[in-house]
Amino acid sequence: MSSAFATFLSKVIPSNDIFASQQKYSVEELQAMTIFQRLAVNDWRLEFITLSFITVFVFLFAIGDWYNKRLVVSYLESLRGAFEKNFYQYGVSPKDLYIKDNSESYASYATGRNNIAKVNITIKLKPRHNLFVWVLETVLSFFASSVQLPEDKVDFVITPARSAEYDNFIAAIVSKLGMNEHRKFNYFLSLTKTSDSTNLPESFVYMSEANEFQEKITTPELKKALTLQAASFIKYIAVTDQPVEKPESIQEFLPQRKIIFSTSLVSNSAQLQQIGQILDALFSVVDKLASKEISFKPEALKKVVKTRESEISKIQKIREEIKQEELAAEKAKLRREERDKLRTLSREEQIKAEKKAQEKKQRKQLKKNKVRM
Amino acid sequence: MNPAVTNIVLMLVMMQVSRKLDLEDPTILFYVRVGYGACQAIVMAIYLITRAKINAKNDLTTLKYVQPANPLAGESEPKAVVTTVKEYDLQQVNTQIKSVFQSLAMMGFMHLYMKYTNPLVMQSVSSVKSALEANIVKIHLFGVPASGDLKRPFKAAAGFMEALTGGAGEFKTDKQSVEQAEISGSGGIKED
Repeated sequence: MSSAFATFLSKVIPSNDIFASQQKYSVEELQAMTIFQRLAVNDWRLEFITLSFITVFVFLFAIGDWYNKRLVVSYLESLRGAFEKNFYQYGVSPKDLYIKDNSESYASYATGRNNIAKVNITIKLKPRHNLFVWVLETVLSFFASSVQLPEDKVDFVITPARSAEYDNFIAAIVSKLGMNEHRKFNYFLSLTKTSDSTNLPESFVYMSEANEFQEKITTPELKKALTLQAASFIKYIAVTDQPVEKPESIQEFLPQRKIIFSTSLVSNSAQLQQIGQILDALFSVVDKLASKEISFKPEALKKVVKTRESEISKIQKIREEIKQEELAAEKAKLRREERDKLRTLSREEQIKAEKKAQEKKQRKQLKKNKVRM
Repeated sequence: MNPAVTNIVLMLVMMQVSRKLDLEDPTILFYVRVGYGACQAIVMAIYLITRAKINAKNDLTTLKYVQPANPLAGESEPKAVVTTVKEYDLQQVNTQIKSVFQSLAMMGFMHLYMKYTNPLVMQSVSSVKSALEANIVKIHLFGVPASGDLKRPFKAAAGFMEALTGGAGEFKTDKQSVEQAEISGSGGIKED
């Protein structure tokens, strides 16, 4: 990058011209000048170009940063109604509505409602503040699958209160647009079966561990809020007890019940209203689960337990394998050391050591026989 | 006719053509370049029209299949893919478009840097031919029904790897293997 910039500069300014002002004057002449005279005759073009690039970059950064912030504020403000109807506090503190982590990620919060401990709102925006990254990621996302297309997205994570106990299960309503990606990035979705249903608009599917879960979480209010077009901005609505990232230890399998509602950041007022309705419906789903108004048959719950157990056993198997490998490596190391030791001994000592080993083996064998008897 | 056979025939014909042409002559070179550029533009147009048609159709039928594990990418288990016909088709077209850019880059290197002109002649017609023979173009541009050989997911063209793995790299669509792979918990890769 810097070398490309240097070659670009060298075209703008002929290289031997940078110090041209110094060459025009002899050393004696320059020495005779005052400092201000010397500054005046100096060539400042390189500095001007550098400075103007920096200014443009800073200016673009400020614009992008300002635009992102404006998006977030107007979005959060437009959901104020839906949240204040339900929660005592909307915002990260009584005074602040949000926290800015950096120019592209913001977070907000709501708390103070029956059955719900908290709602975390995480907002991830396009890197508008960094034009180069934004353009680069947009272009690269087409060519490389490892680069994600930058987009404005919002995740609402509803954590039920400890007092609101309900069974572990995974059930989700997922937009058909990009559903394979959602399965790829969400561990809990990759434990579920996908099925179309007449219960939902054609643009959505269910992903759940059993039919019973998906039908019971689709309350009439939730169903009403989902339309055919809504799939363009709703990514998924999921009730889960398993994590988003694939667990690597058994502790991570411990159920952490939550409801995740993932959407694109929209500014259309009709769509915002729809999001408000869905949030409202989800809050009351938690109430219904807590009050056992929604409860499930034991067969379905057995299935859930079975999936968790088989996942845990997978991890245990991997761990076991790693342990075995380590053990084998250690044994091999010990054996090698012993062999090396033997090699350094004299002949008589070698014979002695061999005898000792044989005796040891025999004693072991005897012991074994005794136990068997 | 088998596209592999016609490809070879076309290649031989174009080889003769490029031998007849005096590629040192700047006028001929100019026309060869224009021809190549025009062919690539046609190819791009074919794919972009196909893309537009896929988007217009907006076929949201669910499509499930099991992708075989790719040991080269470090995958040990087959992966279930749950997508829609629309997304599958878009993905197919996008791979084709990517390959156009790839061949452009290759040609840029060969022709502009290494100063070869022969590949320019050979690649011009054959790229259009292969674009017209692509499964996805057949379905959307020529209206061939998506069944038989054109049933999604498309079979990978029998190649070298196929012979090595003994056909293990085939997509499975039967209900049992899909359901098994679907709930295997393969997701949850960390983003970023």
